[in-house]
Amino acid sequence: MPESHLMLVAFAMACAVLFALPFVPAISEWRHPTDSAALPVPPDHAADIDHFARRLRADAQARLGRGQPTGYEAFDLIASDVPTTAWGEARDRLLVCGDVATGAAIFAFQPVYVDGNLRAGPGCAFSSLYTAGDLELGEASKIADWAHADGELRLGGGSTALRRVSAGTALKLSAPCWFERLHAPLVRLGKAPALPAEAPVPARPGQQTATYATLAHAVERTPALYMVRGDCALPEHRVYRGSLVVTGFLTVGSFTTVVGDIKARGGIALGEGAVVHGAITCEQSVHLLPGALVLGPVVCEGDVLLGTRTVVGLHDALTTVSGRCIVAEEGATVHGTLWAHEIGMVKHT
Amino acid sequence: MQTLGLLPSFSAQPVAAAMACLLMVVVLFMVLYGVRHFMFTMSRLIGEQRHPYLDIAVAQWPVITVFIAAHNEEKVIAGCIGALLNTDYPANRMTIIPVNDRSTDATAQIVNSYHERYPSRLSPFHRTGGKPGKSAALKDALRFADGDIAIIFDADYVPGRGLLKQLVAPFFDPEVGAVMGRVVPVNSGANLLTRLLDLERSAGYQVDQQARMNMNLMPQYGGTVGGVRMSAVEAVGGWHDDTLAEDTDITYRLMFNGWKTAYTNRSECYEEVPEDWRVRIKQVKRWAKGHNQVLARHWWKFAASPYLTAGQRVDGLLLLFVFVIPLVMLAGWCLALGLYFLNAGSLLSQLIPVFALMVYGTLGNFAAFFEIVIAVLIDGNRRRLRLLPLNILGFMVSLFAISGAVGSLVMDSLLRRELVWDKTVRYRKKVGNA
Repeated sequence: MPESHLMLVAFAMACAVLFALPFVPAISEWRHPTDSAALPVPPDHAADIDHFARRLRADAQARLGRGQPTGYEAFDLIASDVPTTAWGEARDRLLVCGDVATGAAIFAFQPVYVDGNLRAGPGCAFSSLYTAGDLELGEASKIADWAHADGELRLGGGSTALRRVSAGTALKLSAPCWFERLHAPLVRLGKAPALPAEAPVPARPGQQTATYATLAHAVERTPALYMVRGDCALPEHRVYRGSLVVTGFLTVGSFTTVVGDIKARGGIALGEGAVVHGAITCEQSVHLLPGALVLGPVVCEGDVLLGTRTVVGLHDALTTVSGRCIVAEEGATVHGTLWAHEIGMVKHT
Repeated sequence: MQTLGLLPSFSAQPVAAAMACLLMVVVLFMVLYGVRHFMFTMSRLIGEQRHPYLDIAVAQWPVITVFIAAHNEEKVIAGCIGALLNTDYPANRMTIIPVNDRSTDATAQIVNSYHERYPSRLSPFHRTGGKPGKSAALKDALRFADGDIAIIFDADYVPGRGLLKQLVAPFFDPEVGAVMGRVVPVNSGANLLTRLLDLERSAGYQVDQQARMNMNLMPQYGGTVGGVRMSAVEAVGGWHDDTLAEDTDITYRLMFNGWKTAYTNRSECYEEVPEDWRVRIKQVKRWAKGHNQVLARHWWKFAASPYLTAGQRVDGLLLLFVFVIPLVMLAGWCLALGLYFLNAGSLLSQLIPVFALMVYGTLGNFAAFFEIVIAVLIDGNRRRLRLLPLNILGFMVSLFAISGAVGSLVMDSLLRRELVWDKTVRYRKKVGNA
């Protein structure tokens, strides 16, 4: 065989080997599977904020002989009169029997379950903490992972509550305070008393009934939904029925009521005393000016500003506020969940 | 034979020149699809991930109706109903309607036994006649929907406890007309086919759909593990039962009428994928026919819609043409071979790098190899990626199945033949007992 033909055959064989090379592990994996299980989809998965708290509670209740065994009942049992300075030295999870009240700071690097109330001074630091009663931490305290109180949870000014913080009845944060995800039937942000949420009413005195059809560039999409191209401003003291989608920026005038959902791609400003009975969805920022009331979820891909005396949700109709950053002025109230993807802040007015 | 530069001369070689021009168009299309796959994958890797509605864990949930499409589903329907009864969606705001479409097995008995036990939660719809097919059955059943939101599952799906809330949450956005969750093969380990389909599904959802959501493009409603807003469907002309891909049909009609489809990647639900190549080929043919029906009906309305951004328009059109592309690629291969035998070699040699991109961009059915790799890695499965080269098998099967389906659709249209719905075979062994 001439040399050129030999070279050709060698080249062809080299190409064939290179081509076949990736098929070796492929065929091996096919014939002898090492990774063929279905992607795990947890059947009981739910996005409950108190998921970890409930798990710790179940373990603690089992340890105290009040619940079903969980297999994870190992705790360091501590009486409530033991000095709290010992909490920081624990090597296992802590189970504190009874109420604890101290003016000093408490540090705990292990998860702590308090079978009662806990009140501590300024400068506390916990990784995760559950109290079966009320929980009060002084100024400049830190929660690194999660905290839950079955009763009321209060954080002093200058505190940082990262990850999940929840309470069975109320959650009260003093200004300034930083948070990520909060949940309680009543979340009071700052010390100024918030006005109680009014029951939803279709119209306030002095309001005129109006229709989206009269707005510039309005298009009727369904009998209950209008769309406006560009920016849109709803005048003051009006009542609108139905939902509205705006492709630009939406301004809802002071003391105007929308009985429906609103969405704007360019941002939303809800005027003083304005009311939205449905949800607010926005691809940019949402500003709720003082005294605004929103009954549905506020879903924002930008930042959210909750002005003083704003109320979101009702005590018997909890809802959600989510945004990249959430800034709440003192006196804002949320019934339900606040979820700041980057950081949330309660600030002095 | 003389060749002049990149293209053969029309005066010297008219046939070769025409073929070369056609090939250039084919290659441009393939490059376009390759770039699209690359952009989607990069969005998933380094882009901002959008899950805006996932945060809504607490709200006053709207009244919804959950439909379970079932035709001879005795093996699986009990699992689906049981899972739905176990969800954390408020029971007083949800009605389950199993749509028993002319079943001849024990589906009706299983549904009725659940109804006897949960009369306030189930409202079965037993369909004994009418046009066959899932879309026709659903069209009849949707009349009984309570509330504005209809969530739809196939009977072989097993929704998790928190899934319904996740699927309903996007409807708080008044612009959302449809919602789609993620489908995960439950029988991925059954054989080589299911393992290859598992890889494809990963890419299709974990990368394609989520990237579309990230880039505010056009996630697709898949007809199951998802839902529609009834008022939106009504506004765009109602539910159509004269198509084999009612899900694609409604996605496009919603989109070019200004409604959005939301994809929620973390709303995962198991489904069965075909374990048999013949079943898979039938499934692909049905998808191809249905999708191309939608293409023929809506492509111009979509292209001319005043509601779409440029990105949405381009993405939507590329998606619309996706079941034509295998035929186009097959034509490209034939053209390339023809040009080779016509000795138009200079063109081929200069196009070799483009062919490389074309191969990269089109291998795999729903997604390119790069997409599959990234999707599977995001899912946390590394070793199953070793099967990737074998995906060429699935690709080749789909290529010819889709090309055949396109031809068949043309014949159906010419001969005015009615399209026939082929139900996908179920593989679960155990018969579900209520």
